[in-house]
Amino acid sequence: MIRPMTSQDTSGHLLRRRTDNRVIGGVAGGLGDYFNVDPLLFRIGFVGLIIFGGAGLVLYLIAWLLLPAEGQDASMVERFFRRLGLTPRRLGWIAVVLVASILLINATSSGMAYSMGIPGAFWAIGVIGAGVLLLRRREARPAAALEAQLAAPVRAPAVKAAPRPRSPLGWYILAALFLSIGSFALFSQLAGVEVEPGQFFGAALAVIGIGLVVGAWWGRARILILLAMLLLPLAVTASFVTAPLEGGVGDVQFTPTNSAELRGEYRLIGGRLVLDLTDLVPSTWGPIHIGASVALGQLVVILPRGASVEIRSRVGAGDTILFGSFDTGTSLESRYVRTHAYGPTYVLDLQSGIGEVMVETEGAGGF
Amino acid sequence: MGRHPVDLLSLIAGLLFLGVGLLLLSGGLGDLALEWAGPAVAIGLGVLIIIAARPSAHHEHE
Repeated sequence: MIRPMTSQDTSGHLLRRRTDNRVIGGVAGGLGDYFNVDPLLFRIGFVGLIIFGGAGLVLYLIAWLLLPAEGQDASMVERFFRRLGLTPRRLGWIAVVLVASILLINATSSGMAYSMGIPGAFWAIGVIGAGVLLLRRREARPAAALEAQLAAPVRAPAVKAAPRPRSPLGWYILAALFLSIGSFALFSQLAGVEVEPGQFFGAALAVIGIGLVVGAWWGRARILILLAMLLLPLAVTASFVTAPLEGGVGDVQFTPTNSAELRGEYRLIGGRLVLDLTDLVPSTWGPIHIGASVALGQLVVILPRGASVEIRSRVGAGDTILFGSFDTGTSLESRYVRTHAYGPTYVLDLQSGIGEVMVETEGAGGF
Repeated sequence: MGRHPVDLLSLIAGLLFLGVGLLLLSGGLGDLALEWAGPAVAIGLGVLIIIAARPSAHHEHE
């Protein structure tokens, strides 16, 4: 819907977030007013970008933070910095120093190619920020404003409804979110109850949900729909991460050759963990218990030929491949027992949150 | 923070996120097959977009 021109539209045609006739934060409406096109086009664009990669949410939030609301001359970010006593001039200097530092560090550590390739998000945000600042600067130019005012035909002042007072509900819900998550974490520590990451996200989504239901009748907090949509994929992902979050990140390989080098537990938060037991010379012929987990990634165990095994494998979401037998899906739990007449029995407790558990015999390949 | 006419977008979104949140809190998502959870979330988001884009949503404050 293209909104009819108001007196404010003619006085310099400012880029502002709508405070009325908005669906969520007024960003698409404000852009539609500025470019004089139907805001639905921008809404479709944002939703499309959310679906295909999630960039729409980030862009929307950035625009929401950087665009002033109708009737105001400063965005939320500007007002925040003003409260801190940071003037645009000082901020400019800080930005210059930061950018120079980042470029310098990257250039001295890994070369300019690295600096141009890795921090893509940084460049993107910088370009967006620069664009918005340029637009704001153009708006603020007094000569241009005066020229526009002189050139504009005399019109009868349009009657505009007073902007709706801001609702504190969103802030209350945000406060409730932090209080509930903090209390939840404290309770789990004191009671010794293990709470999985997905449950924290679940608590956050539930609090936002309750707040939005309250906002259906009292106050307004639609902007929290964006926050919840941002949390939703993270929450669903985290709910599958049931493996311990221990052991660092990266590609690691362990090849123990004797019982002293063999550990009872191997943990990795993210990446690929390979446990190669083919060179292991055990000091005992009793069962050898090993626990191994990768919260996000691949866990590979290579056993010597003819080894007796008792395997328990759990995967939150992904694949299990036990000696070539393939299974895929969510909440996978597999057990495998193979007994031979000689040698120790490897009792393996293997876990992957999101990813893959693979067990192979040496020389079988496939990984 | 006075009472206002019912805001369907907030109500539906709130119920959707509350439901998903409680499901995650109970640890039940792991038992819920993705082939059902995926379409359910997609349909929920579709309903939200329809509610958000309907003309009356734009006029309700006018």
